[in-house]
Amino acid sequence: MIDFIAAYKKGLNAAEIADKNQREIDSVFDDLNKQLAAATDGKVKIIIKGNYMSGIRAFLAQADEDLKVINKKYTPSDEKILALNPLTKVEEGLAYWSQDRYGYPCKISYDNKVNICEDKSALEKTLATLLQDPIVGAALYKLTQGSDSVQA
Amino acid sequence: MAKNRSSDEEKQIAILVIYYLLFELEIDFLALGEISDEDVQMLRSLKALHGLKIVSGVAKSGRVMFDTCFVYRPDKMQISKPVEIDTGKAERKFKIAQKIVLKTANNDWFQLFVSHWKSRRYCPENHSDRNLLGTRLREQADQLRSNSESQAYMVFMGDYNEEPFNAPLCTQLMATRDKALVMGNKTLLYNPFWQRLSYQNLDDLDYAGTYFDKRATDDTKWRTFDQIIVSSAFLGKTEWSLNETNTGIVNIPDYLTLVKEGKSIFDHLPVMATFERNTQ
Repeated sequence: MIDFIAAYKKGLNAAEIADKNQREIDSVFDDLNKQLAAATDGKVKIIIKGNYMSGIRAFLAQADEDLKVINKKYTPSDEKILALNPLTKVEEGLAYWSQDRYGYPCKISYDNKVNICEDKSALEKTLATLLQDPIVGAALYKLTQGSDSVQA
Repeated sequence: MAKNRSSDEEKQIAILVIYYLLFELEIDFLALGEISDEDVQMLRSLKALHGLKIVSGVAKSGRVMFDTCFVYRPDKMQISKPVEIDTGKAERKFKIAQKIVLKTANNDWFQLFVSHWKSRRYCPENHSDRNLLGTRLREQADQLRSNSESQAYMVFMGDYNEEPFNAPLCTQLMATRDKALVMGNKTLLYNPFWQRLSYQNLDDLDYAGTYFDKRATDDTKWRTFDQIIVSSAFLGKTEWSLNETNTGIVNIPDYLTLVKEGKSIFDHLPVMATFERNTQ
């Protein structure tokens, strides 16, 4: 007979690992947001948001102009990493996000890159690289400018 | 960008090999490895290649460098810009593959995964990180299968620094020698390079793999590191099929001599696969 109790115990253990990993992933985003808030006077916060399929074509892997039809073959995840200005509530899409049921690996996709992160260190480095991307930089700049105009 | 390591003479030899593949063997799609930005510019300047499309796959992703280039006949196909797939673990980062979507002139879609996995010098055989490469590449295949309404034409190609029998390819990627099994189990991949592990010509003892390591002191100087692996879609009653007779290691006689002498930077033989469209 299948040992269902052993399976049940393994499930509990898996849930514990998944919870620990999720808290670690959240802590990476918390650290990122603390630093961004300090640098932008609270105008930029990075969040993960699901089911964000509309208006995201620009963030698909970019193909040559005449090959856009080919790019429809890429299947993006339905979760996105967004930059949010908490003051204006304006959001800018930065990348796609997906993660394993255990938390890791998690995957960040943008431009023509798919970066898989097996642990905290890799996630931190990938997020740092994402922030250096010129289109992401422009999106974050736009958010900070937006709140200035609201305040004015 | 990628470091340019070759001399002018070595570049000339590489060009002759490329010409042989494109014009003697009439290859429609060619993937090149260990390419720099400068090499791509040089290829684009060659008159003989005018009329062919040259797409650079040279790209930096954090601390890893993708160093490929793709040459193809635009009357036969179109290809997408390469998507770079890598994975990070602790302080290390590994290239998994570059994904390219290829559309044939008949509007069929091929999904190509071009890989150049880490050298065994920096990540030894049997290291768990090498299994990770196979696992992550396998996930790409699974993702495509789950998103495809019909059987996906998938081609995995490159220098894996692994032989067909090593776990990252045969266990993690699930690329098997057993064609009959793949035909009945569409989750498996078929690796025709299981047939290329030994000397092709036992009289000449010409070559017994794709990579020649003249310094090797263990069981063999030849390794079959370069392979082209296909999904089951190419083995069934579908539009496209793998022609195994014209699939394997390309023997260019003078070039083989050069590789075996071991005095130049050339240590790999080219590999090719032939896909035929069924007209019935």
